[in-house]
Amino acid sequence: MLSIQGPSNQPGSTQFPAPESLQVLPPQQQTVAILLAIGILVVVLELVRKRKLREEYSILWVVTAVLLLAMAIENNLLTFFQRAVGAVLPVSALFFGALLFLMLVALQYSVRLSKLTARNKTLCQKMALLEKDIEELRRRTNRHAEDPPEPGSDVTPEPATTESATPLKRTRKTKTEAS
Amino acid sequence: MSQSTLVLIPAHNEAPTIGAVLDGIRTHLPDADILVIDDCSGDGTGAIVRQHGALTVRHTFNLGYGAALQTGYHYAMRHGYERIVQMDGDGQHDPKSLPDLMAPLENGYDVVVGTRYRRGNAPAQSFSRRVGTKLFAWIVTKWTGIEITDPTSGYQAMTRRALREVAHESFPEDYPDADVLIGLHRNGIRLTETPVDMHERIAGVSMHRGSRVAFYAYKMALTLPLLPIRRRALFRDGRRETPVEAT
Repeated sequence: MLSIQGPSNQPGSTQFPAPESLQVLPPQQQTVAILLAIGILVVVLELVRKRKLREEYSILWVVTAVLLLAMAIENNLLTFFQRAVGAVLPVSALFFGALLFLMLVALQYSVRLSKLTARNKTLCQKMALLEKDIEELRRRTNRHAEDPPEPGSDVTPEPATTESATPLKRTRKTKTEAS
Repeated sequence: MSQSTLVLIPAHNEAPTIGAVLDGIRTHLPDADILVIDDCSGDGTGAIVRQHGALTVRHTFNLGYGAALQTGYHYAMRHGYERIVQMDGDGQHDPKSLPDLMAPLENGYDVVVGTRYRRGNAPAQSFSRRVGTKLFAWIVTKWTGIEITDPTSGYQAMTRRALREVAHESFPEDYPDADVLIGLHRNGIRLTETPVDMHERIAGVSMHRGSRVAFYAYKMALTLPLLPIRRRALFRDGRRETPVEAT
């Protein structure tokens, strides 16, 4: 799995090899990582091109794929990341990076979902209130149609309201009417 | 009542009881308008409400108790009501307590919480509900300095001043209880409570049931400690979208 085993096989050495001796990925792992990064990039860009993935949601995927590609090509970068997170093996650092990415994606989606839920609620409430307004306007329009003003009369009939037709509701003016 | 009053009733599948509740309100608060927020009922609740001559708005899909209340708040704001009463449509809240509930509003209070625990005839509750109510009552009382024995009561009256605070997008859409009372108090709203009559639920299901009790406890445990580090205007910060009442 590792290209340099070195001191770990020496008698009396520690159980895990020293990080200094494990600075590069084996060619096979490097190839897989590069192909994986390119694959992710291609799929994400294709999804964005087809408008199946919004640009804002592609950011984390693109950044992660680019970082993966950079670390697979440039071993110093992977070593730096490995030391920064305190990983013993380069592969462990890559797995840690993948886990971090998934957590960020999940968090991003949770935030978006919360926002969408709130917007969904607001839309539903607005629709309910607007439906009520339309219902009241229709009733008023029907009343006007049934009770036209006398020809030549200069008295404008009192606007009928939904409320006046119901025993529980007093006649009220909406803000729009009042203004 | 000299000022316009709206009675808000969030309702989800309350067909067996809503008619009697509306009749009771008509008897004890004859001058008030009544708005039933039909939270996507599938049992004809809305039709019964219309038969009884009350107003109704209907959610296209079920949003929950707090969101239904909020729709009613928006309606009250849009139509310029000075006072609102909120009560349940399942028959638990006795309409004959309506005058008692509204009386403190005449004395300068903005929010009156109806408590079931002061008349000695509180309906039976589960052990977890009793413990939770006592705990949150203690928290609200300590926090506000006002003795509130029934912070989970949905039987409340409020003035337009308080209505402006709660008619906001950030109003809790599930369980508007202790956190709302504390938030209102922090915003300078004058709270009090008054004894009311409550009964056992005649029909329907409680929103405090099963796993929801655990979520309720979790939500309060998360929300209450955050209150002190939130901005003072609990229900007014972060508004970026057009408010519902402005449509």
